[in-house]
Amino acid sequence: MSVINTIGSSFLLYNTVVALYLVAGILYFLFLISHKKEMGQMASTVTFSGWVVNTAALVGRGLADHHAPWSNLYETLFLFSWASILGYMIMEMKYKVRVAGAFVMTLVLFAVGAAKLLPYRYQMVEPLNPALNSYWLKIHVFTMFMSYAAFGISASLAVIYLLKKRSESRGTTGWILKEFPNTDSLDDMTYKAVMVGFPLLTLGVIFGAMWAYEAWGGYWSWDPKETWSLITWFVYAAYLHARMTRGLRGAPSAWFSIGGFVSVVFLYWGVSFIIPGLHAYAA
Amino acid sequence: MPGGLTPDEQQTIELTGAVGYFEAKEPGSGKKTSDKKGFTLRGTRILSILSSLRLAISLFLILAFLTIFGTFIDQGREPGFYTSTYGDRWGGWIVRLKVDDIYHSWYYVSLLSLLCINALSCVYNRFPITVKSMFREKVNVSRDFLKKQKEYQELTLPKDSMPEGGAAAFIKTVLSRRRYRVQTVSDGNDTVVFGQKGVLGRIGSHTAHLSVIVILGGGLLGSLLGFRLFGTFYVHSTTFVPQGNFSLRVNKFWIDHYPNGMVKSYFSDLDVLKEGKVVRHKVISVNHPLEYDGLRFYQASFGDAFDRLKNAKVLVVNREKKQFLGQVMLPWNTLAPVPKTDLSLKVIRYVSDFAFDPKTKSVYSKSEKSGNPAIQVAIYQNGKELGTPWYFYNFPQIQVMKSIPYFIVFAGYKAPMYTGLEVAKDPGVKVVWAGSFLLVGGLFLSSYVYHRKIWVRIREQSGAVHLAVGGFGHKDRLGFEKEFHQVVRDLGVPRKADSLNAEGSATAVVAG
Ligand code: HEM
Repeated sequence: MSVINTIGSSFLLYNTVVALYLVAGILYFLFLISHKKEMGQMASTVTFSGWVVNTAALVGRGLADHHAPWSNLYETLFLFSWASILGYMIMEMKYKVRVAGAFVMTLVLFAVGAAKLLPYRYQMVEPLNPALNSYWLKIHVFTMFMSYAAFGISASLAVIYLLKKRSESRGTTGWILKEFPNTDSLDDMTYKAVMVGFPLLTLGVIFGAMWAYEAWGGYWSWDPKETWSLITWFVYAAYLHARMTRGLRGAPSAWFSIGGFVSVVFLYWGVSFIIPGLHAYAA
Repeated sequence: MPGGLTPDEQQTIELTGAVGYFEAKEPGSGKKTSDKKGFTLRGTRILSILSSLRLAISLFLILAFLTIFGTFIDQGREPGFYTSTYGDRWGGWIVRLKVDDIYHSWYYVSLLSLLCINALSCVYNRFPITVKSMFREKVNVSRDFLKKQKEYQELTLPKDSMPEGGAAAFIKTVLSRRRYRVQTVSDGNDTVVFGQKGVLGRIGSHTAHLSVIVILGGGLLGSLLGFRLFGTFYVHSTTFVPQGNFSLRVNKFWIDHYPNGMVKSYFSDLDVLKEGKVVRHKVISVNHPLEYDGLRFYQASFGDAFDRLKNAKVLVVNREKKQFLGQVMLPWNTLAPVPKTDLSLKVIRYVSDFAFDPKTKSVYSKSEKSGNPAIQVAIYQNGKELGTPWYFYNFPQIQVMKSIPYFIVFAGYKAPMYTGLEVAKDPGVKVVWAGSFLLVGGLFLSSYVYHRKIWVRIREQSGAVHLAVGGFGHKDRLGFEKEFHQVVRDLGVPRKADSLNAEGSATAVVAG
């Protein structure tokens, strides 16, 4: 048990995750450039190993702290990477689009890189403040991050779509973009990822409301984080409805998905760092 | 493109999947889709605006935009706050446009209501057609109809390639293997096989739409009939709760710490008393409230009392000689003699943050913090009361009572802890949870279950079997395209259908 504790609360596993994802990211890009199938297979394998270590890192933290391993910013970033890679691997299996890995992995590397750049005290295992010690909160955070991951994948696909579309309109397939599926499929997959994310976001917000009800006596109190989750929800609701009747397709749809993800990023980071800052500035 | 349909009808077909619904309609036979007499909203212009997707999308975006303001501008402060923070001009506009409490402003609430009406009329408009498309889809469709479908393919097979049981039975097995529910009708020389699956996905969006209204209704109920109050309670105190017509007694309060000293959780041992009898007992803690009779008591906070003490330490000094005479620990509101003097003292009041209101000439506590702790002491000499001056913990030099030959110094104190309880009632919360449950159910149905239909019209003619295969897939267009072509492939090679099925999913043949 004590070995698990030591490993769990150390950064050994987390650093391994970052290293593996970094290698996987490079391999994915090499695959894009070289068009060598083996390179792609290697990238997928490394990704999978990274994900396994990522799982171990989360479980290890959980065992070491006796609470869900997503209770501070550092840990949630690794939860985000865990969920994104999981979603990506499912997509890779289902649609055989190994190439999108380069983009999803870039996003994930931003996340884990940001985690590593956090001040040390944010990275530490900390006991929870009493209000955060609730299983509703645990499943709330977990569900929210599953949805963030889906939206992140959608935005990555949207970026690929836009790049591919641009090179197509110039009459070239592009050396790097050749491997990607056709724009129609990309467009469809962007939408599908949102369809996965939207119910999860809704569920996550509801779990959050249940937590608030148990902890504070009100399920909704318009605090900035809550409110931004509602804004994000409105944006994706608009997206889904605009997709219907084939109204929203192609580039506008891709931009919409990217815009939705900007809202997600703001919900996740902006609310914590910008809004209190604003208030502090005003006071 | 189907001829003779209005764009609105085409959209309805697309959204409800009722592809066969308008098929019987004569081109140009007017807009009426219902023959009912009397007043009906169906087909009216107002309904088509109210139920339009365009309105829904606009409302979502407008609401998203408006909602942002409330996250950057503090909500619910007094008007002065806005003018001092944002300047007279902008602050004035914030107040005038009700951005200071935007989520309760008339326009925000109206937009939410409009969204509800929008969703409701959308359900009203399309649900009947959806149901029709689910249960009463036209099976006997014409070749022309099939040709108009997005997915269409014709096949001709030699009749003797058909397995036993004939073409219809074979098609049925092909479709059933992909979990289609299959119906067959014959029409003269022809036979039509119709299969569909994922029908439940259809009601997902309707469920979602209705549940949003349920949730907002629950919220409204809560805001009209509910309340949230905060109160501080002391151990051993019994407080009457008028909203519930019972009393709440706090038996105990304690705090658990982590090994490093951080607070882990805190607990109150509570009794609910009705006519003197204990009707409920529970130890509540953060995240674990007590519920009784629709009222919920939450462990919200704790802190040092701001209006009472356990005891106060008081020093007595000779005024003239500045000589220390003695000290005493005074229990709250209890007379105690000061050793080696002829004085007896009693602490009769305490405030944690002393303030004086000149209008009412009364002392009160400015805050719950110990900003300026002060005690009021009743001084007795040989049983005679001399006066009741205030003494200040932070300002021992303030000695208002000049007539006694002693300095009295307020040197220390211990305040009891209060437990901060939030008392809340929300009769709408069950409605909100029910709506949430429906919403999630509806969303998962609509996102993961896709309605798909395939018709095969069979005509056997001079030793050959002609198949016209048409299909309609809701939402997952590419996925359906893929499956459709796999079905066509399976149909095209009857004998080898079993072996094909396994590899069929790996490659999508683009045909047609
Ligand atoms: C208020 C919150 C709303 C939520 C949560 C919601 C949710 C949904 C969802 C999840 C879908 C299926 C999405 C998809 O297939 O991609 C859907 C479909 C649809 N929504 Fe909404 N919607 C809302 C409001 C509205 C409103 C106000 C309208 C009014 C026009 C509307 C009209 C439609 C239509 C026509 C469909 C397609 C029907 C179908 O797929 O069977 N929705 N909605």
